[in-house]
Amino acid sequence: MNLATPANAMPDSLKGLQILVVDDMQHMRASMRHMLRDLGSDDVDAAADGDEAIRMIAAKPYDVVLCDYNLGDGKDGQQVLEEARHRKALPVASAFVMVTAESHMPMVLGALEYQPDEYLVKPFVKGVLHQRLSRAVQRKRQLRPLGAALADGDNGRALALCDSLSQTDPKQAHELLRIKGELCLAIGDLDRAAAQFEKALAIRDFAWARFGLGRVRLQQGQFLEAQMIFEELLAGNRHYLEVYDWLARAHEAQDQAAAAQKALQAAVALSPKSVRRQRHLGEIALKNADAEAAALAFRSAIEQGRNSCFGSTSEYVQLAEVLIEQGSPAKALAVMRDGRKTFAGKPLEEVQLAAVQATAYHRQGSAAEARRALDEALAIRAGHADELPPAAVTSLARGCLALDKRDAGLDLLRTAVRNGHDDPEVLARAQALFKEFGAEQEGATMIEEARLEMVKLNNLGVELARTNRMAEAVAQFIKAADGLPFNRAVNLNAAKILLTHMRQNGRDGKYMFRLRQYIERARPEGAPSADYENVLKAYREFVAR
Amino acid sequence: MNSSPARQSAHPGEAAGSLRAGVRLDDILPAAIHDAKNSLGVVLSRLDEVSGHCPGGDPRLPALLDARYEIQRINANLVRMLTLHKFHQQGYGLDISLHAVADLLHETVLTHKAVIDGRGIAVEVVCADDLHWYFDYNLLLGVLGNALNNAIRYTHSRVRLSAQAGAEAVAILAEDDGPGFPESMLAHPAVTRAPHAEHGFISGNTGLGLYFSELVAQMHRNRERCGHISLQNAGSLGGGCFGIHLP
Repeated sequence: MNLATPANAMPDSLKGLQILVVDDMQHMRASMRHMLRDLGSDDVDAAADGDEAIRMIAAKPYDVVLCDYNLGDGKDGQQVLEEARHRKALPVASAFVMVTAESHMPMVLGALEYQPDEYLVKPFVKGVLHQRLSRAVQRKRQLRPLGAALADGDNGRALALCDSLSQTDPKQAHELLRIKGELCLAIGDLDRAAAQFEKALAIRDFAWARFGLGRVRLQQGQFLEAQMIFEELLAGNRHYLEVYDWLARAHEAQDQAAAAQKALQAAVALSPKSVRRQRHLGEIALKNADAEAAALAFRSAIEQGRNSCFGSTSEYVQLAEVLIEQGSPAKALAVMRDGRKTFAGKPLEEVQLAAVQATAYHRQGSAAEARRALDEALAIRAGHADELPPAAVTSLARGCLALDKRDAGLDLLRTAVRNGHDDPEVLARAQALFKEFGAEQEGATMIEEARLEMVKLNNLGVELARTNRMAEAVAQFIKAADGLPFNRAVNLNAAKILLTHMRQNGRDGKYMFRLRQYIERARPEGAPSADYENVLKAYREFVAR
Repeated sequence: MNSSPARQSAHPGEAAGSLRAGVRLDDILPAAIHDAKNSLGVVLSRLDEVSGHCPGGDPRLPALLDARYEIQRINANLVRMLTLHKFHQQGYGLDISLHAVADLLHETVLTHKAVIDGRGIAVEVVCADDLHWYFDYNLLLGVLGNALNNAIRYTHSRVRLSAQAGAEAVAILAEDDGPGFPESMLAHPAVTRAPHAEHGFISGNTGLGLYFSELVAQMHRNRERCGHISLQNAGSLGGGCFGIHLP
């Protein structure tokens, strides 16, 4: 890239830009190369499908990716973009231009990082290609600091940049309004997010602003209003796929699992490609005791996951559990064999899959195989005890309980409960197992103990901090957080204590690594948490000092 | 000619219903159009390669440019059909954003540059660089491409694309110095006319372009106002004047 070009100048020639062309048709790739060469470009690569594109993007920092939306049977252009951004393979200042056959594409309303910088309708002449590429590259360069802040996940800095950038040109100001709304939503500043979206809606009825407002309302607990906003958006355009996900969430929040399932089924009927949507659908169908629909959705998630970076053991495990429940352990074992192949060499995944294999063999009456699978799972776990997430721990516990290793099973559940004391999914899973294996009393005690342990720890921290015994507080919380690596609340509190301590006593190399680690572990998975964002902000300010 | 076919096509629901009478025509139609478009794209880029190698005064050049012009027309029609098909299926979400209007006008000219230069037409763009407006960029490209295409076809020598913002709307005009639109066209708004061969204001034109333009204009809404198109004669260059007005 020609770094000498001023940030706001339109590049005259494409010379020096590293460009990747992605198209499944050979003659289209050739034609694009030809045009780009005529425009002065001397560094053009080409990929014939999505997987090849991802590999190439990961290997070379392209300035521009020119990607056809329709790539045949594998990933489509949107999936290439999502995966490249998700893996952080595409440099922040790179432009992603989506080439389409028609003037209208399924639009991305929410996630900014998944939006192409330009939609270019085929066929186009050289001059148009030049104008669009130059424009996209120029805009990306102007917003490079913002892009960098977003890539660092530093939402606070990104928000500040939005304010300082927005005076320049009107088009940019308009886009910054949207970025600001999304950022406020991401850090859980709901009032400010609502203000941004309402400001946009006062200008025009932008679908993205209505979608933003709907998400704000949902997080503010105004479920019915959120539901109505989402429904209205879909009435205007039933192809807004992300809106179905949020409509489903609005229904779930109102305990309308059947309606939630219907919303997601409508979305997967339009496009089956999203692994996460299929998984979500499977989980909701389970809540509705609709085993058929759940199995179908988990199977689809597995299939789509083969083409995607979003595949996980979760859909394999949940499908196997449905099949075991339906009295088909042989089918469950087939799913697990598939899973073992897919996740071979990944110990954390293998533990969970082997544990489910044990349960399935057990149900089949194959005692020897069951024992062998369980021993294998326990052996792999021994090397990775602290890294195993609570969901995998409960799968392992289930295997132990089923195979009469009651003490080992309950121990594992204690670990899961202590790590996930504030995670309703983990608790629900543990409680189901306590019930299934006649340990409801022990389970209730365990959960209560975990809760009390956390309260006690919290009070101790407050007390030690109040009486200025910071060294003692630090020691207590390091011990607690290291013992409960998956407990977000404990890790967040440990981070707070370390920050307070170092602010008072100066930076300490031996705590800096832990501090980063605790903040990383405390990162919320679903809804944003203002508490977490505050700690993150304090950490960044401390580091910048 | 009775007027009922015109009314039918003007209502999205009815048109979609008649499409669905065919067995999965809804799926076949867009796929077939995409396929045809891909082929046209190849033909177009091949033509450009050939004409790029022709020296300026080459006697074969006009024929190549005529072919190019017709291919672009077919392609534009296919894009419109896809868009209308989506619209009829109730699946069209406008991608309204703020754009520099000059970008839109220049890009429209760039798209037709080969034919414009080949026929020696003088095209001027009159638009303030800082004029920004809210619209769906790719849809407006389709509308203006059609307008410019018509202007190129009927002009003597000059075409002007211009844009001006009023208090509540932007007006984008495509004018030429040709003979202007026939009276019958000026009398009726486009949407109440059928995009139908017999209604074609000029032989070979089905009116699909105008129908599309009117729909796109109407999809652009702001508060209670929605956009519209205008057809006039005796514009600033003396010929036809197509306008699209967006609130």
